[in-house]
Amino acid sequence: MNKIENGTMVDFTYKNTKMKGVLVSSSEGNLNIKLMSGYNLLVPENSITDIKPLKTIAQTGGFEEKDLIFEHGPKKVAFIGTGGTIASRVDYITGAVKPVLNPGFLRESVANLSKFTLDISLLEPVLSENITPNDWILFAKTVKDKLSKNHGAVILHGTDTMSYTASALSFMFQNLSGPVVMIGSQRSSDRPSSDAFLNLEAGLEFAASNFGEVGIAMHQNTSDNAVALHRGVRARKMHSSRRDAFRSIGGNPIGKYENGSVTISHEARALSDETVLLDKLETSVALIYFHPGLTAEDLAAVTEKKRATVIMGTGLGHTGTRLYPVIRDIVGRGDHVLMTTQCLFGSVNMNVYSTGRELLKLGVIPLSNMLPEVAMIKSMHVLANYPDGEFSKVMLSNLRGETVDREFLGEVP
Amino acid sequence: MSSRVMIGLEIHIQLAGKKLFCDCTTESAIETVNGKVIERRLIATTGESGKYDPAAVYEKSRSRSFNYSVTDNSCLLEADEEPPHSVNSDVLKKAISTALSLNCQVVDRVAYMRKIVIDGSNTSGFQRTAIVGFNGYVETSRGKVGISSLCLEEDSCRKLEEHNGIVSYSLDRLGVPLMEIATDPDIVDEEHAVETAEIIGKKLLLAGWARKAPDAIRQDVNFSMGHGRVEIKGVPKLSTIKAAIAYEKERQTWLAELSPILKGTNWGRLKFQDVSHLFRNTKSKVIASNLKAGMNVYGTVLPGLAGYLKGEKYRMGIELADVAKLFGSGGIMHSDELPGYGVEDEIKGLVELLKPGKGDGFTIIVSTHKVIGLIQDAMIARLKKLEELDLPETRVVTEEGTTHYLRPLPGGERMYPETDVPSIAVEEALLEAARKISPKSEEELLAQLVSEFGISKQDASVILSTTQLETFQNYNLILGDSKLATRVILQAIPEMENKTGRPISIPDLIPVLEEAGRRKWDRQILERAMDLYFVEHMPLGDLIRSDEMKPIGGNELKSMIILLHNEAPVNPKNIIPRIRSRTSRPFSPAEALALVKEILG
Repeated sequence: MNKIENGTMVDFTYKNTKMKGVLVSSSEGNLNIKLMSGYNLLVPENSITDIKPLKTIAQTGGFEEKDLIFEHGPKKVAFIGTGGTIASRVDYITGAVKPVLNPGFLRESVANLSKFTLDISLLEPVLSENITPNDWILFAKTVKDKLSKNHGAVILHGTDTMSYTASALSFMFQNLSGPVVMIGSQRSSDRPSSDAFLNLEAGLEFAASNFGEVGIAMHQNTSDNAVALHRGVRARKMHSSRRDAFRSIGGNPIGKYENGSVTISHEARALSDETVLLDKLETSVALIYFHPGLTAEDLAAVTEKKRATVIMGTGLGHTGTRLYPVIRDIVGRGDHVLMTTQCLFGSVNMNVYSTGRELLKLGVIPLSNMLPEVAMIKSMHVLANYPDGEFSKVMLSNLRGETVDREFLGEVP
Repeated sequence: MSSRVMIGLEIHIQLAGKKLFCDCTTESAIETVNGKVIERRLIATTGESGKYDPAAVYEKSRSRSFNYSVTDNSCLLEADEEPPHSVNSDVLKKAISTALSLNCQVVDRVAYMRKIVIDGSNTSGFQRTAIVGFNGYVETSRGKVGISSLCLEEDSCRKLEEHNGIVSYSLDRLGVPLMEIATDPDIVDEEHAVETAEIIGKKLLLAGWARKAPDAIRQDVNFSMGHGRVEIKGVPKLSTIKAAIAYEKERQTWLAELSPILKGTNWGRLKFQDVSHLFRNTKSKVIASNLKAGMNVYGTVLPGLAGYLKGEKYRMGIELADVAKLFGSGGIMHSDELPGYGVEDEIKGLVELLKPGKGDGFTIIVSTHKVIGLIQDAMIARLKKLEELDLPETRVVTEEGTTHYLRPLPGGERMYPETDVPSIAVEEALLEAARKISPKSEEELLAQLVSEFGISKQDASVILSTTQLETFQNYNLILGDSKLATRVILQAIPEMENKTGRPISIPDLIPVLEEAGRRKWDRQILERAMDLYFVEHMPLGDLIRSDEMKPIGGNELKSMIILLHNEAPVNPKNIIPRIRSRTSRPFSPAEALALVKEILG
């Protein structure tokens, strides 16, 4: 059989039945043919007879590339694409959801677009699990450049590591002249039920409002009626699939979009006259999840070359005593050990139990209710931008709202 | 031009058990969980070729929002908050088995598709569906009717109500496995359609896999007579199939006659204007209350339509009213039916204002400033379509069998692969398993019931024809008595329903039957217990402990038999009815017989 190109209309016989359809793809001996009814049929190549090409239809899987300049309304917002579900479509050839930047769907789908002029910049799309600290620096530089020309910025980002990027940007920007709002979606935008549309609508409104920090704008609940703005250094993805996966841990969101209007909490940082970017990061930092099976050897192996080690300890901030010699060695050689809690909610307090007190004596730095990932990223930032002698002091001071001074009784955990 | 009538059916059957892509059951015990309601919107998206589906574009223009009631038989999947689990292998097997019994070819791989549906009936905005079999047939009295495909898909949400642009749905039905069997357009007339539906429906019901619910089987009818395919959705009863086809035939016939008469009409003259001021003192209650609620009355000329809106034959008024209703309006009032509906004094003013020419009709409609433009555009588009006899569309049917415009026909554009569900290879082992459970014919089942359970052929046939085979098997298992199970189904339940005037709920009945099985109640005791439970509403616990239900035995039974013996001699033949005439309490016949022997020495 001659190779028939994808996108060709074909007549064929399958199981004694004459059929007609468009060849979508062929892989591993199977043909994927879209029948006239719209159904795709997956058929073993060798079970098909009398296949005849008729005519070539438009290439499947392709999308019209629409223009990237959106000049509609008076509010100038930078629109930075990095990839992720929010910017992705189904790849009909391989059948997977892939990052494909196609902001053309915005015009059709985002209700308030006419209020904004978007300054679009599309970075090489990357799945959020593939993002590394180098990407954070690239994102930060792009934001700084864009903020000089726009009021605020939205960043489209995959949700898996969105809170890491948000934390990194939070620390890297000492001051911001405009809001930086990260937006993702849990349902890809090829689905009519995608959460992307409302998140984008809200994200643009947040980016046009007045606060000077990095936030994450995602569905507040499962309904399409409210979007929460979470402080970048307090947000966490707490569910693998729900729209309202992102939560502000240990406090309330700093903003809300509901019924077409934005409210920003008075606790949000104010705008600055200019944006100050500290774009250095020291990446040799370890994040260790303590567990009953963790051995001293494991800890020693992972932390050997690390300048700082953030431990997710149990409860109020503990580890097994078997790890003490390794911790003593790390501190002894001049590197840092920091303690957070794997409970995520609540603070470490290492004065309550004797094990905690001993860890403090070994030189472990207790990080209050700072989230473990945030502590890791803050360490990267502090190691690279402050004198080493100040490490402990800076880590313990609240730079961007990464610790919550007062926790209240509430819904969670 | 008249053309051959072509009719095809799509028969949808819900399968009982677990849902298609999650572990929720197909049945719901309560309406909502804590009254939780999810509010959502859906946005039309493009298919894999990057084009919009016409039905989706149409729905988009209506910009409605959707409320979903969360039920106890729904989870994150129905809420569109997690990806589908793997396909329910039990129902896949049943679908393959059905395909084989309909002489279909079975696909090598079952590949799930997303069919875009944005009327809110699916939280995801699409329905998951896959072809399982194709190219089969059933024998009918008028020849073979081809089966073009058998698909296994997710059922949609159950619609609760629509109010002010918000549609409310329940999640209970979403994801229920639905077999869709589509025939070729081989059906020649309405009788043949009913016969074909019956043959296929019976086959499926006899298999015992369908849900026991009034809407477990629904039909769509595809009809054409040379002017394009009309899909009539959701025909509930076989008798409605007949009425709907007859109605559609008549409708398309007069439309074909009217089409040349309407050719060249300038539909642009259909232009709504606000005529509310004419209705300040209207006697029409509907209009008055709508005006009070802040709506307006709009009027327009209907060019060339006088006499065709509601004549002996022609019903263009209904065609236009269908459009208006889709945009939330109650309908229209037009010149062929005015004066009427309390509108009389206003007609003179209307004519002066709208100035209908010779042959022109006119209409009024209650609507809002926001929507009237959309209605006007939709009416003009519809008139152009009808003038061209461009009739393909999706229609909906009423109980009486009249059909109404619902939306444009969806195209192939609305389908794209469900990438969250890997395709499933149909291996020989699966085919073999499907063959093993192959639905039996009515004759086979009858013979089995008679020989296996010892019930009469007549009872067996009633059980089958009322599709209660599975119920019978279930009750037999609980009661351990096939004759009693038959009696419960064929007599006790109908009698109880007569007495209470409402259907007996099966989940309610089961605990009573379980007690009966455990305590070896006979027919009289069980029926008395059902009476106490369903008619007198005695709680089951009280019922079991009540004096009436307290078993009589030992010395008490012995005294009763001696008493009876003193009145007239007892013997093993008369003792059971004689005890029964004295008490309605349960007793062991074996014990009574033993006591008689003892007394007679």
